[in-house]
Amino acid sequence: MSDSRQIMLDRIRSRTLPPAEAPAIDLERMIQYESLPDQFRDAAEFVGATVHHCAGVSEVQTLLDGMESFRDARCIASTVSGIAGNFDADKITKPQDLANLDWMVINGRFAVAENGAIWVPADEVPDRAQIFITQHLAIVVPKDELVPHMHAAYDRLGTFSGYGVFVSGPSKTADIEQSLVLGAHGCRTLNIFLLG
Amino acid sequence: MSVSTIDHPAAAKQFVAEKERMQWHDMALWFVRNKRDRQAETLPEWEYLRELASAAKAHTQANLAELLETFERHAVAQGAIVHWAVDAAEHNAIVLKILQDNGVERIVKSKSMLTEECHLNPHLEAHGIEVIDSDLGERIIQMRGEPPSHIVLPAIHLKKEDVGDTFHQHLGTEAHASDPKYLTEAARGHLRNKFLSAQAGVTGVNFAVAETGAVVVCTNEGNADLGSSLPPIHIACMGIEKLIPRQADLGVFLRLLARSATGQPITTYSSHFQGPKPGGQLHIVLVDNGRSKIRDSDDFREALNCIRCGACMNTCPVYRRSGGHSYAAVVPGPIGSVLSPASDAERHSSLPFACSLCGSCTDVCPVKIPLHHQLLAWRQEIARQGHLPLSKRLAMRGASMLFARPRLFATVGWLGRQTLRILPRFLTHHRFNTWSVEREMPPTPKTSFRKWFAKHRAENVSLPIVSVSADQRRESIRTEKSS
Amino acid sequence: MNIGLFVPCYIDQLYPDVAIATLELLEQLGARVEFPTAQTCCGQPMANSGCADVAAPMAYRFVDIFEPYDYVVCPSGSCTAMVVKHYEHFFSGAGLERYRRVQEKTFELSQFLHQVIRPERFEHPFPHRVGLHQSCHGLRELRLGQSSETMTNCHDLMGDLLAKVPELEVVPLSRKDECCGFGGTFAVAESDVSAAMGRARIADHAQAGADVMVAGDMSCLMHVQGLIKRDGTPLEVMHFAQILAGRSLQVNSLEKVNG
Repeated sequence: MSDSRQIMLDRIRSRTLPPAEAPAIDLERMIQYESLPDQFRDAAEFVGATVHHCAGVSEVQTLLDGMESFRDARCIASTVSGIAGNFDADKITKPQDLANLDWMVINGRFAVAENGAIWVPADEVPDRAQIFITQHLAIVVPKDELVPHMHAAYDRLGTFSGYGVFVSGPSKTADIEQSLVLGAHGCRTLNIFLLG
Repeated sequence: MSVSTIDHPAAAKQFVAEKERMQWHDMALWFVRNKRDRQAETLPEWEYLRELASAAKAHTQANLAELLETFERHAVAQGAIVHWAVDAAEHNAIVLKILQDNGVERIVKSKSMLTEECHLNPHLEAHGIEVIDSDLGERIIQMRGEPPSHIVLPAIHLKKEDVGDTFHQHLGTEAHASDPKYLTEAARGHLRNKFLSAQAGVTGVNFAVAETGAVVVCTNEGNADLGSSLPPIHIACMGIEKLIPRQADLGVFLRLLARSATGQPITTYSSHFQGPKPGGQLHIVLVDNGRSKIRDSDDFREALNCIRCGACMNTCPVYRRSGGHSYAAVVPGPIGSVLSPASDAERHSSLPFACSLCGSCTDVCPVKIPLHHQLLAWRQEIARQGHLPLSKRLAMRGASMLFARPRLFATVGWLGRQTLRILPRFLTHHRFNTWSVEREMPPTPKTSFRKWFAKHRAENVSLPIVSVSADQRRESIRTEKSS
Repeated sequence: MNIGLFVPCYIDQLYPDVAIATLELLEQLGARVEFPTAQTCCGQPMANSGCADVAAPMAYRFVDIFEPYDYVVCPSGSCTAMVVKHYEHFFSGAGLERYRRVQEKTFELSQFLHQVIRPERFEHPFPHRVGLHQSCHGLRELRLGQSSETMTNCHDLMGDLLAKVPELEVVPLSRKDECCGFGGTFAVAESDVSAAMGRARIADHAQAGADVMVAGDMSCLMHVQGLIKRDGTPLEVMHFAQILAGRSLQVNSLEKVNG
C-alpha cells in the first residue's frame, strides 16, 4: 500500500539523528593466512566438507567414480564439462522434477579460505534448486581462485546481478539436543575439487 | 493491551526446581557460548569487526529513510515487488493477499523472528492456508504446539527423547527412538514432500543491502533455499532495521553472524536474492511494527542493531537457568527484555529485572548493543511509568533518607546487627525473609568499620565537609535529560 | 598522599575487616588514609531498582565529601563503577566540573595499587589454593581484567596482585568469569536463579580444588557465603585486600566474626 510507504517514511523522517558515517573497512587490519589452500582445506573440513586436489577434470571423474554413492547413483546431473551425468537438468519443466537427483556436480566461481565457502552464482546451474535438492553435491573450483576472507570475496564479486550463494560444507543441523547431524534438508555430503 | 503481567520469577522458580534439567539446559547453552569463543579467538580483528558492524548500523539508523528508498529502487529495478507494512496486522494482510491472489493453499516457511512477532502462522491458518515451518527446530515445536524458546535454537529446551516422542506421534517414527541422526532423517523425508508440494515459500531476511537491493538469507539446513527455489513465489519478510548500507558491509556481518550464533565460521548457505528467479515472483515486505518508535529513543535505539544471533541468550546466566519460555515473549533473553517492554512496559515489567547486570551480554554482542545499560534504563522507565510495586518505591525512598543521615545509618546498622544476633533462628530465617530462603544471613560483627576507625584512628579526623551554597547545590541538582 | 577511604555500606556494617585490611594495606604502602564519616552509600541499590532520582542526592553528597582528598579509594568494583560510570548524568554546569575532578581521582583498590602505588611484592605468605572470582562490575564496567567474551589484552589486576603473594596458588576455574548471581536486589527478586547461579560458582571452585573464593567485591562473597553456610560446603571467602594485608584463611568465618 503506497499510503503505508509514505506513512512509514514520514515517521522515520520526523526524527533526525546526528550524522554517522558509513565506516571505512581497513583491510590491513584483517587476518592474513600463510597458505590460502591450507586454510581453505582446514576450514572446509571443519564444516564437514571433503577437499580433493586434482590436476584436471579427468582426475575428478576418477575420484567420483571411486565413491560408492556416486557409482550407485541413479540420477547424476553435471554442468562441469568433462564430468558425465545421466540426467539433463535443462530438460526439466518444473523444479520438482529434480526430486530424484542423487548427485549434482557444478562449477564454483571462487572459494574463501577463512570459512571454506564457495561462491556459486545462478548462471552455474540451470535451476538453483539443484544446489539444494541433490542428495550429494560436488563443486569444482580452480585452485587459484582462492581469496582470504569475506571482504576480499565481496571485493572480487563487485556488482553482480541475479542470484548467488556461498556454500560452506554440507547442510547440517544441531536442533536435536545440540547433536550435529550432517545432511539436514540440503545435500548430505559436499565434495570440493580444487583444480590445477 | 496487556492482559496480565509476565511473572518471570515465578516461571524461573519452576524451571530451577527441575534441577537436573536446568543444569543440562545451562550446560547446553554454555557449550554454544564456548564454540563462539573458539571462533572469535581465531580472528585478531574480532573487536574491530564489532566496531565496524556497530558503525554500519549507526549509519543505517541515521539515514534510514534514504537507505530504504535506495533499497526499494534497486530491488524493484531487478523485478522484486516491495511492500510496506506499518504494523503486524498489515504485514499479515499483505502476505495473505499475495497468497490468495496467486491461489496458494500450501506454503513452507523458514525461520523468521519477524513472522513470529507478527503471529503470521495463525493468521494464515485461519484463512485455510497450510503453513509448514521448515526449520527442523521450528517444525518440532510446531508439532508440539509450543513457542520457540530461543531465536536460533528453537528446541534447545527439549531433550532428544522429547523429540523422539513427538516424531513418533506425528511422523510415525519408532517409539522411544531418540537417535538424532535417525530423527533428522525422518524429518528430512517428511519435509522434502512439503518443499516439493509447496506453492510459495516465506523466508525471513538476515540482511537487506541498500546499495544493491539484495536480500540475504543465512541458513544451515537448506530449508530456506529449498523453500524459495522450488515454489515459484518467494516472500521475504523483514523488519526495517535489517537494512545495511553497502554490499561491502556484508563482509563484516557475515564474518560475525554465524560465529556469534553457533560458533561456525559461516552458515552452510548464504543466499543473495536480487530479483525473482526466471518465471517467478519475489516479494519483499518491509515492516515497522514499533521499530521507528525504538529508533526515536536515544536510550534504546541501538537495540535495532540486533542481527538476531542469540549470543546474548547463550551467555546470559539467567537465561541459561530459567529457559526461554520464562520470558513469555517472542524474543527471550537479554535482547528480548529490551525489545518487549517497548511494546508494553507494564506487561513486561519483570523482564528488565530478570538480570543481575553482569554485562556479559553487552560484551558478547557482535553489534555492540549496550544491553545491560539498556536493561538498567528500562528499569528507570518502568519506575517512571509507575509500574514498580509500591513497596519497592517506598523502600528505596526510605533507604535514600536513611543514607542521607550517617548517624542514623550507623544506629540502624547497629540495631540490625544486634537484632540478628539476639533473635532466635526461626524469627530471622523464614520464608518472609526472602534472602534466608536459600542462604544464611550475613555475619553480625560486634563493631562496624566506622566505630573501629573512630576508636583506632581517632587522630585521622575527617576533614570538614565544605559547605556548598544553595545556588551551587541547585545547579548540581538540575539534571539534564536528553530527549 | 591523602586518601579518602570510600567504604561500601555493607562492608562498613557487615564486613568491617575488609575496610580495616584496606586501610592497613594502604598505610603500609605509605599513604595517609582518612575515613570521612559523613559517607554512607553510593546509591547503587536505588539506581538499580529504577529509582535513580532518589540516588541523585547521594551523588551530590559523594562529591561534597570526597572533594578534598588527593585520591578516593574503594575496595569494591561495583561501588566504584557506580561513582565513576553512573553518576555523571546527575550533574550539570559547575557541578559537572566538580564531579569530573572527583571522578578522575576515584579508584577501585586494585586499580589504585596498580596505577599509583605499584607494589613489588607482598610480605605475608598465603599458602592456600585460591579461586579468582571476577566480580562482574569490576570486570566489565571498570575493565579490571579481560572479560572472557572480549578479545582484547587487559591485565587481570587482582590476579597480578595476588601473584606477588608468596606461596599463593591460583586454581583454574571452568568458567572464568560467570556471574555469582548476587546482582543486588536481584538476589531477592529472582531468588531461585540467584541461588542456582551462586551454587554453580561454588561448585566450580570446589571442583577446581579451591580453599577460598577471592574477589574484589564483598557483596558477591556475602551472597556466596550465605549459600556455603547453608550447604556446608568447605570453601572460604575472602576479599583480596584481606589476603594482601596478611589475614588468615578463616578471617570471614561466621563463627569467628559472630563469636
